[in-house]
Amino acid sequence: MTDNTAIAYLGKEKKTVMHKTKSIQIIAGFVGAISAITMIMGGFTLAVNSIEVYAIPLLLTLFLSLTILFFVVRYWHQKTSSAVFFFAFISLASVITIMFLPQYMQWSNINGIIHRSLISGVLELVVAVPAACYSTYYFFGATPRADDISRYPILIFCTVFALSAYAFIIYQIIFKAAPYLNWSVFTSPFSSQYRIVELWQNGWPTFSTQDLRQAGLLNHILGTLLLMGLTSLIALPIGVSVGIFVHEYAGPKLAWIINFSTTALRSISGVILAVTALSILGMSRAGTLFYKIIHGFGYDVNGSMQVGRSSYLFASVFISLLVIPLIARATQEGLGSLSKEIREGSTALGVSREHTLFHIQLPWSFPNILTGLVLGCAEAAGSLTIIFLIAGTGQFGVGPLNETTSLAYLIFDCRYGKSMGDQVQSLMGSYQYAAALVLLIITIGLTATALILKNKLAKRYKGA
Amino acid sequence: MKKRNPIFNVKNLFFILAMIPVVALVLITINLIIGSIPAVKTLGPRLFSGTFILNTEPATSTARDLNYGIVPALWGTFMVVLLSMLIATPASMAIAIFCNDFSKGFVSSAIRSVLGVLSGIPPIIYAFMGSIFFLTFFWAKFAGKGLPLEMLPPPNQLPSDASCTLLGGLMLALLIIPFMSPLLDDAMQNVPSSLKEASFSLGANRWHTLTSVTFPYALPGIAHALILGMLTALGETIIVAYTIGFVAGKLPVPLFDVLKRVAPLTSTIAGLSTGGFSGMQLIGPIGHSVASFIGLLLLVIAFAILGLSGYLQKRLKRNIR
Repeated sequence: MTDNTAIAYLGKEKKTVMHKTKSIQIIAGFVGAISAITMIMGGFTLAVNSIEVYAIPLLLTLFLSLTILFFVVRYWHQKTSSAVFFFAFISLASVITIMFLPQYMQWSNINGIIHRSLISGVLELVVAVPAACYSTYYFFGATPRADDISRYPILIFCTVFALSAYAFIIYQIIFKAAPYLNWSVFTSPFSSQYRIVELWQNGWPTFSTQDLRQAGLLNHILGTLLLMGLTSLIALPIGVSVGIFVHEYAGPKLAWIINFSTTALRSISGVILAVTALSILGMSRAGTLFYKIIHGFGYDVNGSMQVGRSSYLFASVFISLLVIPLIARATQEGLGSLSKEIREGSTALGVSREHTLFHIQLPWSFPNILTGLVLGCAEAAGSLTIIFLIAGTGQFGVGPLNETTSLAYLIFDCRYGKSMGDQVQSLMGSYQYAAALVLLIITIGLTATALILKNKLAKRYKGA
Repeated sequence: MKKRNPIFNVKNLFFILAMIPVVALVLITINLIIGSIPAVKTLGPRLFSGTFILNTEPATSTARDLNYGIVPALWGTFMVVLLSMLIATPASMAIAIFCNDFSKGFVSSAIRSVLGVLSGIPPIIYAFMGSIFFLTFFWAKFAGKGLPLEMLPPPNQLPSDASCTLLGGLMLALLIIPFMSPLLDDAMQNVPSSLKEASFSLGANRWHTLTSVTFPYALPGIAHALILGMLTALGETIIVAYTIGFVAGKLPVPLFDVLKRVAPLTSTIAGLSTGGFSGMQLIGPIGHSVASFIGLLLLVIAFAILGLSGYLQKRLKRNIR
């Protein structure tokens, strides 16, 4: 035996290894391609019934290629991949299952009949996602790094599947709102009032009513903005002082109590707050000033006063209970992020605690507070949970003491309207999508602003 | 030196303002307790038995005439929360893992910002688009679209309108995915990089590091995120009221029938406390009181879950050390 033979032997071995790796790669690539197609088709089969005809050929191809992959791995890699075998078996079983299923199924008295495409779509996904993972694993050479790479298909699939639902929603809203977007939608308020007209007939006054119906989003948009403004006016001082008190002054027990109650206010159901608001509205006696203030009042076209269901001021007090925790947490974060040296330096110079607070700590945490406030505004714009029991149409003006309404309530009102029911439905029904679009733009804009602010903050801390 | 006023100083001002949430919470609880007394007095154990029927209460109503059994609604809450968590947990876990360990630079920051923006979408949007989801995905799958008349099941087994429990669960899941995944992401990001790097230097790959180092360390944060998501699903009202309905009359016959409409507790409160939504009768004082009772029940459940969360955090953190 010489070195030459050994080298020749090694070369031969290397060649065989190359050969083996390449053939495994080809087969794994084929499996990967088929399973990617099956994954996409399975996703669409969940939406469209007629695509189910592709399920059987795709699954059959997947079964065959998975079996080939299994045997190739078995004989050339000296490795028994039981998972590949298992999924090959599952794909065969699902092919047989789908072949023998009727088109519609109904059993056990459930409320509906299940179409075969649902089952075939689910089976396609169940087989294709793991098949994609395993084929990636063998495509990249069955190393630990390939193990990492083989997790990508399932992660990307879940992420894309979840995000596509949001894309679907936003696309539908824009698509359906587009026909109704014109200038008059945004400039005319909703109203369904009657003007009493005086007519003189034969020397005597007679009265007739004139219908003043109008559809538009103006007072709903203004109402949403007013709710945001009032809520931030109420919530900002309270939220900031909760944050300051907890961070600066409170002992551990008091801090725990306050933190617990703010967390609880955010995590308990908003409808509990709504029930409380409703019971307060019910407690006040009709006719008193307090009654008028919390119920909201306005004057219609004839000049007579109309008392609503609740005023903007009253509603925003309850919404601010949800916004206070956000601002408090943001303030605490901001105060906590100030480095100790700066604060101690200020104290060492003989500055009082309050002066330090107002001139150093609060200016430092201002961007945090602003972020919290912007998020709170987004919350107030969409917080229907608090006001859906107490809001109305708000057709008698938009001001702190008028009847509450908002874009979100309009959408709810069109389906389950209490105050005017069918009139709102018939007048504003077609503007629901426009309202949803405006609401979406307001909330997404505010949240994006908060995100940008947060990113700026992160940069500041890096620089410091 | 100026003498500090013992009463009107900054600290006391902050104290008064800071006690507002605490006082509000206490007042809300007291209001609910006082409000629920008539229901408990009149109905007693009948609250947890029988069916739920919304009717105008007769003037001299005895417990026999009133059908306020909240067990169906309780079951509806359980089903909706379970469904939404079953859908949302894998999705948000996958998103968090993908953002945190399996992508870097532009992709992860893009997904993070998209989710951050999506978390601002108010629930009414999801509720409103629920009907379109139903028509696109559910009606075609579950309602036997295009079936000839003789093959159709009896009409009472067909979904009568664009709503079912499954739809509510799905829409809730869409609401809580952007809420949970940043929390999960944070929990995994807070794992010290020294631990991860030690694992990498020992030759473990990313997935192995994830399962054997990141997960056990981040478990308290993950549990916290899941519990907060569950609380959100439990307390959400608009989506379930809009997509499922207001009243759960009786338990569904196959108990896990997600294609029936079994409204959860929150929307039952909404239906009871005004009772005037279109097509419903005005409710009497006992009905309002039942609404308060359900509110109290939800409050107790939320507090129990929060307490459990705190206990779990402590327990899991002790295990890590």
